[in-house]
Amino acid sequence: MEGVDNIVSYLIVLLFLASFIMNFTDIPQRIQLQRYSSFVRRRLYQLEELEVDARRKAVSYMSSLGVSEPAKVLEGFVNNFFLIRPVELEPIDIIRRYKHLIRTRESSVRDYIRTVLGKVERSIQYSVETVLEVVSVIRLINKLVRHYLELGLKYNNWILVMQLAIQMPEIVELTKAYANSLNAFTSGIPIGDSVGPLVAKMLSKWGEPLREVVEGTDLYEVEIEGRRVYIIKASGPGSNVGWPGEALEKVIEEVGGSVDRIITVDAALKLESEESGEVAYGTGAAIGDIGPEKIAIERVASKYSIPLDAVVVKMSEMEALSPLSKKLYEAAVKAYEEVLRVIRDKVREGNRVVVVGVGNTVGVR
Amino acid sequence: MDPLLTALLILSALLILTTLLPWILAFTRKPGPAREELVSVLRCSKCGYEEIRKYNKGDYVGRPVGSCPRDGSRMVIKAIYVETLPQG
Repeated sequence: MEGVDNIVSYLIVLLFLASFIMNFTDIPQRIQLQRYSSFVRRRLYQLEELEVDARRKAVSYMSSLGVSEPAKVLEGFVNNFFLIRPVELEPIDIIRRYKHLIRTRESSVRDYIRTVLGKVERSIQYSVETVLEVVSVIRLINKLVRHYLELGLKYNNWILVMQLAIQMPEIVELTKAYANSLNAFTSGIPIGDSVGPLVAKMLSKWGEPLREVVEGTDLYEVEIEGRRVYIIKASGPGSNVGWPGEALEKVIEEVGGSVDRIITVDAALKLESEESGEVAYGTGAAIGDIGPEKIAIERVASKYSIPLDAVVVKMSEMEALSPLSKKLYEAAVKAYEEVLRVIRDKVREGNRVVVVGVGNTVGVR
Repeated sequence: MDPLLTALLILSALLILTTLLPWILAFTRKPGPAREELVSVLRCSKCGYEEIRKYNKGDYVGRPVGSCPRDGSRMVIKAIYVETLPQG
């Protein structure tokens, strides 16, 4: 019995010591810092693998297009072409400044790609641009994760490392989505975000566009049950989002504002509690834009007092960047039926309506 | 053995088991990857006849592809999507 008593005494002393260490020293935090940093490092290896894979895909895609020294082209892109946000403290003309900077950046990117590719189809040029942008985003994610990990370790900031570790699964998922999207962009397969242009194409009865209304944005004109329907979408089938706001502005001005309704159709990020493929109807401009395109839609709608409707298809970020699933295709059909219902119920026969299919038109002509 | 010590050991074992149980369960229940196939849906622009076939490189929505087996009109790709097939 004496031996057992001894063990119990040791255990009590051990518990007391452990309690002291846990409550009055930083040792548990240091141990946690090591645990969390090793967790982040393991995920960082995964991110690096995804980056290497993305770079390999981009290089092989450019090689297949006959680009000489594709690795050098990629390197020349990934760390350059950043955009410095305009001063937001002074809001006057901020949209004009944003628009100017976005267009300037896009024009530099397009010049760079044109120089590298030479004379190729515009849809290929757009796809190369997207592929380079995707690799650039993956590189940026990697750099940011490494930055916060090293910062946390340098200053023993265990809260920073812990926060990073907690966010890592989400960051890895997002990076995987970007990496997977490369397959779609290089092969020209529609992605989840293509539902807007897909609905626009369905409305146009898979016909050819009437004309290019602004660079990279097409206009279709059809008649649906006695209503004149103007359809705007990015020019496909390359990876392109076009300038839907500017195009809408131009079309509405051309008809002197005589439009009964504007309907925007886009993919929307779902909440975790929502089902993928849910179709919802609401008011406003359904467009995930930094500002200039969205405000162009809102301004022209309010200038002529045209009701602005939105039809959205809910999906996760992963689904928005992955090849279109059957479930989301069926949702696009539902969204198309919803747009038809709005046209039938809210636009009088003989009047005009504009439908804008917002999103990346990869794989959709 | 002392009942107090036995109780302590059982309690410790139970604690470790309940901590590890969700991990073990999640690991063993992991479903295998689903079989996926990329398909193109073809539609006749006149009679509406539809056909689903495997995706071919170069396909895009709105691409004219051959003629309709029913009335010989132009067929157009109306959709491209990933179909998830049951395991097996």
